[in-house]
Amino acid sequence: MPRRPDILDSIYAVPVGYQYLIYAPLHHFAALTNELAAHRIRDSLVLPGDSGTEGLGEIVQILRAPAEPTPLPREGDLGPAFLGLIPTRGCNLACEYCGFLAAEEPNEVMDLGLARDAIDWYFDLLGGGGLSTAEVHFFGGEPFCAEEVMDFAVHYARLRAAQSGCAVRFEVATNGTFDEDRCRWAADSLDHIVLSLDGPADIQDWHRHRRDGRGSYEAVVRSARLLSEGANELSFRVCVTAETVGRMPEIATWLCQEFRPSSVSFEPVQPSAPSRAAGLVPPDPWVFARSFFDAAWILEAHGVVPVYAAADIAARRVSFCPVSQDVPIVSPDGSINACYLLRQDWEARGLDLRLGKIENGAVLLDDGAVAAARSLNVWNKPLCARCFCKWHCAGGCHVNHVLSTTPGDYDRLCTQTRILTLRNILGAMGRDDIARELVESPGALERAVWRTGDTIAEVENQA
Amino acid sequence: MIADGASAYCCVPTIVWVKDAEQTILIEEKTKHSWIVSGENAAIWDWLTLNYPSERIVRLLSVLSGTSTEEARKALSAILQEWEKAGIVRVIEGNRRGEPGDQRRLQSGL
Repeated sequence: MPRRPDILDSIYAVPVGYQYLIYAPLHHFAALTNELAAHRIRDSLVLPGDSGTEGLGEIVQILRAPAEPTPLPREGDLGPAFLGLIPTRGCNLACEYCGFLAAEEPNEVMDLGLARDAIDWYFDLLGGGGLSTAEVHFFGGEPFCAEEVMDFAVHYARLRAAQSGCAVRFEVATNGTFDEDRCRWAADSLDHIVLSLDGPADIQDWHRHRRDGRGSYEAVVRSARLLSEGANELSFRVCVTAETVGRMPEIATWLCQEFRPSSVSFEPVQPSAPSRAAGLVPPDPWVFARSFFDAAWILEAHGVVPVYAAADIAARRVSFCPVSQDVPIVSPDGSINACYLLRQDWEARGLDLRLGKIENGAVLLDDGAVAAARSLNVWNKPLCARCFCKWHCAGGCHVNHVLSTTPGDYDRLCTQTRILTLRNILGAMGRDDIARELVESPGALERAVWRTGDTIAEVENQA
Repeated sequence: MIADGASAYCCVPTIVWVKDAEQTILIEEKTKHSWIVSGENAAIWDWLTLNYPSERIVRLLSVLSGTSTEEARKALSAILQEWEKAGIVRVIEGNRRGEPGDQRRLQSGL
């Protein structure tokens, strides 16, 4: 069990140029102060009886007031945030960086009866919770390579939702290479479509080609245009490599001019055997962060939300992903896992993320496995303990982000997450000017990133 | 006809449809007559618009409704007859199962 939360552990002070960002995510509070004011606020919070220096009293009062409850791992009955279905691990593309290409799992298609059993179980679980909206997310491979499962699952979940008196939302992550009829169906039937599109033709056809080597650009762009006309929410996911990082602003401009996305997510390529073989490597985190700043300003000017998933400051969470959030992800073989990544990938990290299985209509859930998945949370990640991003990124992916245990020993992913979280906080404060100054000052940026701890109690040590 | 296992259907060209999460609204553009389909019927309409062959629809419907294939086939036949009478779909003359058809046709060769 985590130790008793101390609210002072969730109030941070991060140097931003000549100023300090006082940030308290659980109080929904952020302010810029000079160094002296940061010291005064720290003293007022740490020392008993100190009511705060005149003029800073209001800030101290806010920070002493009860905050949002500290995020804690789940306990008790299984309460899924959503149901994940993997209709198939198969895919019609052979993306250069795709780790799923080397999957040891067979590319079987989910049986419709299994999809029905999974949906029944999920709605039965929700039954007691009084939830107003159920959610079903489709993962792959490419989910539309098993279109019948999609067709069935959407309608069956709707029937169950109608019986339960709740709404149901559908989300899919897709490569978008479907035909026009299927694309219109997706636009009409699904609520949120996350479309992988890495950029203009030269990038897309290089990174994301078909199995026979032909490009996917034309088909995906046609889909993106159709989906832009629909009522569905359209998000793009752009995979960025060291070669394409400098083109992020150009890609952002192009996506905004050609389509109507609600958000664009830029994510560095995840190193895998295929990506290494193809010579596709992740960008330098400092370069990625700076390029993200430029791309994000373009997107925001068009009313499009820029996303770097780990820097989502709206989130208050103990786990970055479905793992530890009780999300059952059902595979075509009937296994229920906490993660949609390949089993061989978690096993390579020494993790067993199997929660149970569905067999002959019966759901066999391992309570011990559920408890083990719940224990994969930020409370058990020592590197994160004093980081101001703790409640937003929660340490990132449990499989692909291996954290050091040494305070301040941030890796590539932590570095870009810290910079982009700062950007998002400053942006939310209406201080894009400060964010811009920060990113243009390498020394100031490094001072903000390389810290052993960000809690306000540590201000003096860092100053 | 429908019950003899050989007819194919197409959507009446003047029908437009609008889908939301709970139902599909069909509107005859000329007469402004409208129908609301929901639940299993909305699923059938959806699969017809995707040009699914009848046996595929029967199989999907069977799992959806938790009935036997034969019961699903009868249910599909009944709803198509109803929709034909209502003027929502029509039989394609001479287009029997196994014959090449227009891609836009709603193949339902029961």
